[in-house]
Amino acid sequence: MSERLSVLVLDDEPIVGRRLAPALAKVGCDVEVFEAPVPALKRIQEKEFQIVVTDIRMEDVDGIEVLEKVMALHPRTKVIMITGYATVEVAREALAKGAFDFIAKPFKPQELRDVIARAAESLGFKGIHETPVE
Amino acid sequence: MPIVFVSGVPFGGGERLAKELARKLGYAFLDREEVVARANESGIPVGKLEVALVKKPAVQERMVRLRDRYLAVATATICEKAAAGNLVYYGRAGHHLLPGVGHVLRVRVVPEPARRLETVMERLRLPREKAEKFIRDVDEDIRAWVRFVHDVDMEDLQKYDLVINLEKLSLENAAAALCSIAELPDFRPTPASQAAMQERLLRARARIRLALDERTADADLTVRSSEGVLTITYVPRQAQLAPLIPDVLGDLPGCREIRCTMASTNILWIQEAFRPDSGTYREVNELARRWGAAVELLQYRAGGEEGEAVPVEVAPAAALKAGTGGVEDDLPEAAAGGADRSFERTLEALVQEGRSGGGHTVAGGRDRLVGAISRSVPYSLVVVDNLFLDKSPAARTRMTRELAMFLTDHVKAPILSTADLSSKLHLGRGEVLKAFAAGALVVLLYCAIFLRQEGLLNVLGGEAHKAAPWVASVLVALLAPVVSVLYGNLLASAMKWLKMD
Repeated sequence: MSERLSVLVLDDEPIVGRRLAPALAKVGCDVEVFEAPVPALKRIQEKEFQIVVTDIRMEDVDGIEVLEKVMALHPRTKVIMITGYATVEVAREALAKGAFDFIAKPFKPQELRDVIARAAESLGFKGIHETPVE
Repeated sequence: MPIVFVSGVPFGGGERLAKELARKLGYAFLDREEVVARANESGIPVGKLEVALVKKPAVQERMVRLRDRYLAVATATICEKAAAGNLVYYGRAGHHLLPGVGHVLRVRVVPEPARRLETVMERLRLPREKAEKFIRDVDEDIRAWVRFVHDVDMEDLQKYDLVINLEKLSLENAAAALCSIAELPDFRPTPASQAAMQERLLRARARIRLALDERTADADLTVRSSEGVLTITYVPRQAQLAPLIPDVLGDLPGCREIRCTMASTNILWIQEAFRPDSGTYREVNELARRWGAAVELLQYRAGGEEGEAVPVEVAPAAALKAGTGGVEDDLPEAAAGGADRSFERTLEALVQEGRSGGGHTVAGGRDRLVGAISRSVPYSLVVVDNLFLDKSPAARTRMTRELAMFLTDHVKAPILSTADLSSKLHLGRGEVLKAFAAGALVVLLYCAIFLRQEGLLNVLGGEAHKAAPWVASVLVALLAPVVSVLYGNLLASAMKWLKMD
């Protein structure tokens, strides 16, 4: 049985997690979905995820703070930022703080799968498929 | 009073200066953030454009439609706010949104570098080295944005009325100086500049209406206006939209009349296999850009199972749709699994660039191909290549040439192969040498004529002419065609070099 990639998805719009979880599961990811940053950060403290996918604009804690905390706790984790309000300033800030990549909404799940495949490759992970498998 | 456009870079003090100026003058303040928010609320995902600049400059071309929609929202927001009263706008180079509007004061703010670096380090919590890199990258991205969105160089100081360097000048004093300048009569509105702004507003509102109405959202429409008359040009495959356009634009304020016309310049591109990253795509697209033409794709499989032409639909332009959280529907399994979608991707690329004339596929004999070519569309050029892919290269070339000759008898437009197209678009080494030779001969000829004027005049009308008048006629008959051929070659090469058709 091939190894699976652990992925945490954090977005305060529930529909995002509902759409992304099955799309990532079918390429070999074990996905945990969170709709609020605080429980997500608690889970990140307990477990080192290989990939964290986080929205930027959220109540209480924004995605940039999540990125900073993940980088401080688990520097090997690859963080992918997603947002509907992207600007070059925010994208550059995220990249300067160690984000692996940045995706502007709206996007197709395949776009995220491509980025996750690249992140998995940089982690030396072999079990990920770039496209869904039956 | 003028609309004051303050342009600057992030963390450079420009925004604070613009706000201080608005406060001192008692004007309304508007910034780029508000414009972007309005665009996002309208379903126009400006973030896709911004991220394309950071990540993949190569895909910018695919964002032309999105860019045009953003520009329309930005223009409308600024004009509406300025029409309601005086306005100070802070952004990247917003004054380029209102070309031809005279009551505009264009200010560029140059930041104090050390203070800017400290601000970035403090506000973004970045160490010095990373903050320096952040500033370099963001400045480059913003220059690229201005180049892509407005097609100008942000650093070109001729595009500004005033440059404020904050190295020595405090924000308060800079704002005070700007207050006096803003009140100069040079920047006051005139009836002509007000009318120009209303025209810009009308055009922008029309573009937004057409982009947001689901009946016309994915159409390739060109909007022009003059004295309240809107002219909307559509590509031939979207002729069914013509009666809908007046409905969509019906009660647009300031619009006296709506005229709908079909685009008269269209390129038909016939191939068996298409790729959006191919050299041919670039060639055809470059020509379409120069002509302002729509490109129609026809995928032809010679000798395949006969069938009627099948239109191919592509995904609509990126738009933020409610209820999806910004995650679009996934690709069909077959497509995601690596099925060849090159044709659809080529069509998508043209759609995003606003140059799609539609696409369809057809298989079978030559008659099927001719039947699939619309008689009602006024084509300006037909490009034929990359056909008969299952044959040997020699047979492929021969059969493509035969097909091109067959089409010449059935289509009223020039038929070119991609090689011919390339040679017509670009100056080859041989042509450069030929142009130099022609230029050198023209110079030599003129030198000979001017250095030997006396003898020449003698032949044309002097003693020698009286003795042998036929010599002058022979001389003119020989020289005139030689000079015209040399000039013709020289000018043709120069026009090609200047990309003039």
